Amino acid sequence: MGVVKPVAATVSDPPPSPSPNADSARGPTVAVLVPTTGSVAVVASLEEKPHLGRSTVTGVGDFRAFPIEKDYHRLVDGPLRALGGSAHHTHLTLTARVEDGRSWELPILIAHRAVQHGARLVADVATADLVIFATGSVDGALNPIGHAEFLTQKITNAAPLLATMKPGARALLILGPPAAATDLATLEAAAHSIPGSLTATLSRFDELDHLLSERIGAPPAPPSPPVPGRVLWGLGIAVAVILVAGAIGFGVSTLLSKDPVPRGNPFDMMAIEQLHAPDRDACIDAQMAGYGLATQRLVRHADGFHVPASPTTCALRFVNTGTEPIEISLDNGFAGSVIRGDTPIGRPLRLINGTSYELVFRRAPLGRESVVTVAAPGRVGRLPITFAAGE
Amino acid sequence: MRLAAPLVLALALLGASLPAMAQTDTLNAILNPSAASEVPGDPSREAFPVTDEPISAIRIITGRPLPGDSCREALFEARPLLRTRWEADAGGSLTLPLSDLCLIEFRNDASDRAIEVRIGEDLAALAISADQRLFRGLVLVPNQTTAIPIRPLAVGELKVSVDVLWASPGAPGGVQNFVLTLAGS
Repeated sequence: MGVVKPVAATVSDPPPSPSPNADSARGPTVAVLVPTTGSVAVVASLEEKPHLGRSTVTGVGDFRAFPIEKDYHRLVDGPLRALGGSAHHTHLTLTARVEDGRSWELPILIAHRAVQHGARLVADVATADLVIFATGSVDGALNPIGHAEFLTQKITNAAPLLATMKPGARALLILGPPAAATDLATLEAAAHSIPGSLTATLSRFDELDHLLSERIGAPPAPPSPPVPGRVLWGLGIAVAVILVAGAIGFGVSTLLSKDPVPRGNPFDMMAIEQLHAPDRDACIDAQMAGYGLATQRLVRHADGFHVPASPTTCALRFVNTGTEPIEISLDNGFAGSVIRGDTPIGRPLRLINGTSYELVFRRAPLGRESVVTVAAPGRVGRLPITFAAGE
Repeated sequence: MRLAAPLVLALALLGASLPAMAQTDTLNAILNPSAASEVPGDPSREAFPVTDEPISAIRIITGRPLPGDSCREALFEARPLLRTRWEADAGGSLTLPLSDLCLIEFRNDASDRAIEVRIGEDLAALAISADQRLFRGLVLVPNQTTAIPIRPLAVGELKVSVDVLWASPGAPGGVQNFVLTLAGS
């Protein structure tokens, strides 16, 4: 459940007044910050570009796409459109480069929805009525997900920009779940230095839309044009044509291809194996010498994966059993119990189909639990991995 | 607010979780950009500058146990490691003694470009665990590191090819290569 916490303003405060020189019929000016570990980008513009072959992301005045273009296209043409976003491809312009990662997804989603709510996006923070700082990723249903990474660094990077806010402007500092206590403390420490700011942790898309309705205004209802009799005739003919074309298309697609878009539970694409030994010393001996370890595939239950306390778990092996890459990530439940090296704890690790990754434990995290997130194209699933308590 | 906010915000952040030195550097950078440029990270004083050659961006960092420790203790008891940084030359060879080698890291020291690193499969035999993309081509964004815990196998001398290329659009193309030689005792 999301939490909206007023810091120096109340949630019931009215939306910020538009700038004196703004077109008041079009709502307030909003600057959306896209913080990265290296810098802070601001959304400069969002333009519908029906002639483009795909949605794209570039810098201001540039034509070269940023590396996140492919995922941005998927976001815009997938879940955003399904939830009432633009019917056209979109050109997103940012003031600074965003290279990688997924923490741009939440602020970019917010920028899209802010426009739907009537906001006018501005790149100059000093002219904005509302400044939004957000970091995090979203799932296939546009629900905010993912632990905020490098939050302190991102806020530090954003500090000079936030300092240019005009008097009376408001700031919204937003995180997705799960927000660690230290992250919340960091967020609120930053918010306390910005008069009129709010912090929010959001776990669902509708909470985000509700928040934007409060701070910017309600989105316009979709137009419902009158339907005169002549139009009804035309509509009937169009429906008939679509039905015939759809039937033909269905037959052709059935003949020519299997379903190109995978459906179902993303956990169907991943298996978790327990690598075990009689005791911890035997685990370490095997890891250091490269011996094979006894392996047992964990059964997936409705409430997650259960790892027995005995025999001793040396490692968990995550195997991509599907036909396309997936991303796995773990929350901090097992932090401190694994050896040095790249791990999916706190950051997604991409697992190419046919490969596996071993999470090697210094000592088995008995009695602890960690939620594993599996992301496949268009689908995200989460389940806990629970270690039984030792004796 | 225009004048006071950066200071207040930065001071507020002192209570957060950054290590003390990182906080100091960050605070300096915010409050006094000219002073911040005098820290050792000043590009003009950088000993190993990053150029348009992708290989100039990659750093190889080795981790060895403290005197009296072993890799077993360093890795499985979370003991500190003695770290050493190495640079490579295009077409060259970098020889690292395999004895007491607990960890190898590859780090992208470029400030504004991603690099792609592809390591020879030979290293997989020594890796206790690794991101498998490293053997197919792993993109490291600026300052990102990939770390490989190493098991002490008696493999004699192992030569591992390392390919490096820029992964950011607009960066100079071309693959550069060096050989990482892991020499047994």
